[in-house]
Amino acid sequence: MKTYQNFINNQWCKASETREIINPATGEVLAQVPESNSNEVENAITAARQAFDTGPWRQRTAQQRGRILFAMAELVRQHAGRLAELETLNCGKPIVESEFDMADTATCLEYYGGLATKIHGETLPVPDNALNFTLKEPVGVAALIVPWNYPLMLAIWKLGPALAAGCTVVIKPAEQTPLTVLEFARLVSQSIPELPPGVVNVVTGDGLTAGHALVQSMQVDKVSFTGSTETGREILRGVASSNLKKVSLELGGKSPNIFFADADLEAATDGALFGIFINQGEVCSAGSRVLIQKDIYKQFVEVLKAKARRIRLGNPLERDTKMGPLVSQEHLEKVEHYIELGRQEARLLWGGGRPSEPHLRKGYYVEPTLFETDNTTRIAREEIFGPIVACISFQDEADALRIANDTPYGLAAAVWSRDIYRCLRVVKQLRAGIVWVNTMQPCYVESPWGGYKQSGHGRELSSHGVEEFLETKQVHINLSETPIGWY
Amino acid sequence: MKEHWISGKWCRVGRESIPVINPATERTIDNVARGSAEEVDLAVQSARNAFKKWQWIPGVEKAAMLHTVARNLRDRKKELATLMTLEGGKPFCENRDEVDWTAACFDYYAEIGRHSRGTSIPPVFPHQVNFTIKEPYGVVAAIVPWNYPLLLLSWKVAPALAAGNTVIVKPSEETPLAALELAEVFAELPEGAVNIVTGFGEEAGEALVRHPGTDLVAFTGSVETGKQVGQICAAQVKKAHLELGGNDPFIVCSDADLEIASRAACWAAFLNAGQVCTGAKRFYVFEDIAEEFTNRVVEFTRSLNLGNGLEPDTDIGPLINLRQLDHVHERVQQAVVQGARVLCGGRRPPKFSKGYFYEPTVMVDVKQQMPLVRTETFGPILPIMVVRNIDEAIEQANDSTYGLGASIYTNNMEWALKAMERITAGTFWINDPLTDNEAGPFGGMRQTGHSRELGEEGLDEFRETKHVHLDYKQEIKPYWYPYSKYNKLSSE
Repeated sequence: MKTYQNFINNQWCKASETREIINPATGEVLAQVPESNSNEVENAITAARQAFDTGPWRQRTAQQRGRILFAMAELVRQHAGRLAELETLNCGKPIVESEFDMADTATCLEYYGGLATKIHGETLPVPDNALNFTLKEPVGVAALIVPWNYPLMLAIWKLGPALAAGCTVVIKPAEQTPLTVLEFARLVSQSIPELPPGVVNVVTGDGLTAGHALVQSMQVDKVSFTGSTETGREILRGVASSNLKKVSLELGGKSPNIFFADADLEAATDGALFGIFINQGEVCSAGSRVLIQKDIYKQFVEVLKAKARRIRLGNPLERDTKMGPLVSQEHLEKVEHYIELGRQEARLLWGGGRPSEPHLRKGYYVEPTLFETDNTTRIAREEIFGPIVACISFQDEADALRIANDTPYGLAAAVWSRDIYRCLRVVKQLRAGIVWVNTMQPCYVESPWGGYKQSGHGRELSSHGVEEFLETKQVHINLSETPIGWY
Repeated sequence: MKEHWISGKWCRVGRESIPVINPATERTIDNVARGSAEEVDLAVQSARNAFKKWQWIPGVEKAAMLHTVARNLRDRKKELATLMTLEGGKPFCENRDEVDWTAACFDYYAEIGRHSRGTSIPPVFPHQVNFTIKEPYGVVAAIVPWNYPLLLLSWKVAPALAAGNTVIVKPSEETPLAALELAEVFAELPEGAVNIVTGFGEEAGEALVRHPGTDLVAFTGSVETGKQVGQICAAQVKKAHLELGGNDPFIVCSDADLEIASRAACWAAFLNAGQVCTGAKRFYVFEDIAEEFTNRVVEFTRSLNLGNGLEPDTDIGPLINLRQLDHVHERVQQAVVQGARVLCGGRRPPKFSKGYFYEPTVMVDVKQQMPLVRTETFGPILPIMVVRNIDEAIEQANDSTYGLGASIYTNNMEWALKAMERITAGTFWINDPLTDNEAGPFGGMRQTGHSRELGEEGLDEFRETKHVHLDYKQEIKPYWYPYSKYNKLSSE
């Protein structure tokens, strides 16, 4: 069994306690990693602090930072097969999805490698004899707190822009899924000598201890967090009670996937299922509320059921598996709790159980599950983060918009109709950070990602993503030597 | 008799004048000075002097003055619009709107002009600071056509001033009066920041273009004249900002709402009697709806009122002059000889004994090769051609030497976006033809020109970029002489 250590100052550091990492498809132990305590986390933060304040990193130019990111992209490409397999072993997602994640991870690193040299400030006309301009500078030490659903990819969504901006970082992967980030650190430490010590640090551990230490640290300038809305709230409290570090939050969602009667039925039903069941529904932007116009509701649901039957649960390392296990026993219990709740407050249309095949029994599998409900039930209002979807019927456009926006979340939404002008009308009225028309879930590094309302603060990806790791400095050079003569 | 406005004063040197004629009545309204090279030289001197100060006036103060210009325009809306109708023939309501748009353009550039100065850039070495600053060219010659005498003036003058240039305006000899009225509107600007010289293109216009004291020529007009302007400027490596003709296609797809599309077509073709650079001049209609579309267009065209633009129920005024009227009629007759059919219009209306009126004209059996289709006619003509599908419509639309605008009516986003991507045009309108937006750049591709007006692009046309490289660590660079040392260093 493999044992990992924390990666601090380009060295592997033992921690006093360890945690077992489980393969969710089998329940077997995959590896042991540090269960870092707050002192150990603080060591990593100090390394990042020193690297930022006194190390050679600040002297690196944008071109040099960019080249390091290009080299990282190349490493991920070279080792994509192995990283994908490790990702699947650790978090349970189908191998084909892990392979896509690795390709996207490499693209993201490359994109930010290129963006490093395109971080511009402005020169500004001010009404005085002066030169006034802005400089864009790195915010400092950034804590990157990463979830378990896309373990390496979402770490890179943060690391790419942080390094492009010139920050130093401490990455804390989710306690369940640290392996690909640790492997990535190992590859980087072996192959990219240009990266000074302390610029990239990785500590593993849980949120309550390791995450808490990052959020409370007086040495950290910025927290970039992806995870639940509840934890996001905790982070804001921690930030408020420590040093008011900058925060960006990418939180939960209860995203509506809206189907008008004139939508193409085949494409629409495919989109409804893909929108919620990709990655076992463990997706922040999952289309967990499927809103269907009344005229087609019955037929639509019948097609959904027929197609849901075809979703193949299985060993996620097999290429024809379309749905793997949930990430952990604990998460399985949470999802099953919601299924139980759904049985009481809504009507079960499909699924709701655990697969009966013997080879799946040890894994944390749950069937793709469809409920019929209105928008008032808990399964329609709370984020479940599993393969559970609430089917809700609506009358007309106004009704669809009312239901779609009646949620504390605002991450994503999709609208399906052949009437493009209706789609655009709906797009403009949806309160969400990402809106798809006649598709759901495509994500591009070139375009911003993040939510309205309680789905978060700030945006990741695109040029917006790098702004989150930058401070703006106004420089005003007075050119007049006349004393102001005020006193 | 109106004189030039130079250095904040009315003046003239020569004695000759040009009559300004009301195209609806053929009566002379007034006379303006026939500007010569000598008068142009005075205006250039005035603008050069004013530039020395104007370029250094803080953006916020320039902005306040440009807002005053906008306010003055709105205060004089009625008198300006009336004068524009008298000299240009356009219906009063169109001129009233034009004054509003002109004022909005000054307000827009007042603010974006003071907003930006350039960018700061990541340096190649950490001990360096790099940034850009935007600077004015100097003296701008703005040569303005007669179809939108104030609006097109503002598209040049407002960004030019906001960027720190000073300007000499030469309005068209057909419509100089409203422009001269702006002398009062510009009264609060420093003397010489804006000068107005009237005259003919080949006299005052050419003198401005040739004058070594003008740094940039912003010209709107025909392709032919634009080429001449470009050639003169090229010889001096002077920047020419050319906004030339258009021959815009208008596609109507089978799924369009024909009630709306036919009304849109008439407006796009007949607005300002068809004397609009972005007017729709070639209509490509899907064959399955061509008959119904044509019937609706003809019926609606017959209901339009031709008349003096000062009358409140006039839809279409006269053409600008007799030459333009003869040109349009010649084109129509030539097309008829070549096989086209006139469904309505196609003649001077018999009810008027005076005025350069031409009936709004709908034509079918029109062929792509006819001069009516291939060149810009600039009259109230709506030629309809039938196409089988979107691909044919795109192909025909692109078969042109122009590339100003293009319009489409459809509910099919795939068709709309396909046409958007493939049609060579500076503006593409989906379901709403000919609408401008101060924040949206306006201009053409191919022989229509290579500049943009409006938007941030419209400001940058009047600004040069200077890259500033500053190294605060003064040192002897290893790559300087002697190379013997440098080569030794790099071989280590």
